[in-house]
Amino acid sequence: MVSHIDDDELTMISFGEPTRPADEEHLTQCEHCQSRLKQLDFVVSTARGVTDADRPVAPPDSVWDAVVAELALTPEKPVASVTSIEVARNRILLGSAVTAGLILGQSDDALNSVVVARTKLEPVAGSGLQGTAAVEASGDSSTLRVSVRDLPAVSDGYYEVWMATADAGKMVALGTLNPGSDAAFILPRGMKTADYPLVDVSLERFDGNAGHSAVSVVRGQLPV
Amino acid sequence: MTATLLHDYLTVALFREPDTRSWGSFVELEAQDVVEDVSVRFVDGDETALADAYRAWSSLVHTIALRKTGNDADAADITQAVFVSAWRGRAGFDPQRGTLPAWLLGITRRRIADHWEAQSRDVRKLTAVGESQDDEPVEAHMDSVIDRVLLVDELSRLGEPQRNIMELAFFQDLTHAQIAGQLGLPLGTVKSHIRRSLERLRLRLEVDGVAY
Repeated sequence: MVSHIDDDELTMISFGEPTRPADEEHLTQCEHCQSRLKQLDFVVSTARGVTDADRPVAPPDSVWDAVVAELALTPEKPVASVTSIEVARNRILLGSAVTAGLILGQSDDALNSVVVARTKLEPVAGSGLQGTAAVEASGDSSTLRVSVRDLPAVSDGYYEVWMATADAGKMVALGTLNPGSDAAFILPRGMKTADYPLVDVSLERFDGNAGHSAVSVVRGQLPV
Repeated sequence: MTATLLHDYLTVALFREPDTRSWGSFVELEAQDVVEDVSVRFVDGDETALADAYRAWSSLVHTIALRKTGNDADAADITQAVFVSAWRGRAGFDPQRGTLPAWLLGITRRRIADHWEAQSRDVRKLTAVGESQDDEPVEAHMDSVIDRVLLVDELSRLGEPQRNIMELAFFQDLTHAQIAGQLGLPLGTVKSHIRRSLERLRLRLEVDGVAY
């Protein structure tokens, strides 16, 4: 009775991790495992062949207008391109896409606060939006200042700022970010930015659900 | 603020303290629900479902059209044609036979084929007989482009930490063990995320792709 190579092991082989001699041996004889591995190899090689040119490109707004006109419909516009989000794409390419620059000791001209960490906020899932987040320390208080350029207005929802653990397993809701203005949030005392380095802005609906909508528009990771 | 309002406010505030729900599982659940919900309303002729479908899949349709034609205006025309004919032909969509995005991609392929057909008619009119349009190798190359575009699309639909893990594995060539170390996750967790995510990507390419 042949026992096939288990899926964890086949997956690792498809990523080019070292193969155990017994599995190597089995693979030379077992068509089932060969064909399974071939399928996985195909996915890995496709992914590793991805280039910048494979990024999604949203159609111009005029296309939706033309669809509506041609069908003689009267629906509301699908809220700019912001909500092509949960579905869409981007952010990919070159790892965690976390572009973070630590600027220590740069003084903020407003108050006696000091920027202790700063990150760019990169578009999530094709939102095309960008921004910045900075943690400012002043005395024993820390503030997260968030700015997203050209944040579109939404008719039936709002934007919320979160900080999360690096694996996004735990998150803290900080508050609302309104289009057209920056926002600053006093961080809970005792919450270490090293523990919650991800800064995320989500699109929320007025649905009474206090959890994250899973629809993020920008995200960045503070250097820890 | 009245006492009642203040009470409501505090109650809400208390209940929204640190939310420990993982984004990952939530995103996956929502993604499936969204596809199903949009599909049902689409077939029912609910106009908002057309807008939802457009939001969800117009970038994918447009990107494939753009890569296939290499021309902004043609890609925009094809995208428009796909959504117009999908809406007019929605009675022909059978959720039992496939997902709405797979159906939209089928229409996209037909529209792109129509486009090339029209192009080559024009070319035949213009060029001398005997100059063949040697486009076979280009087609094969373009099929792998579609696979890559689909893969990027599906990757973006993974929740966290799965997406991060897969990006590290694919694009930074980190081993499973290195990823576990970097993210501070148990190796077994990383292994099972990678196995499941790879399978999900494989299925997407199988359902919507052209390789199989």
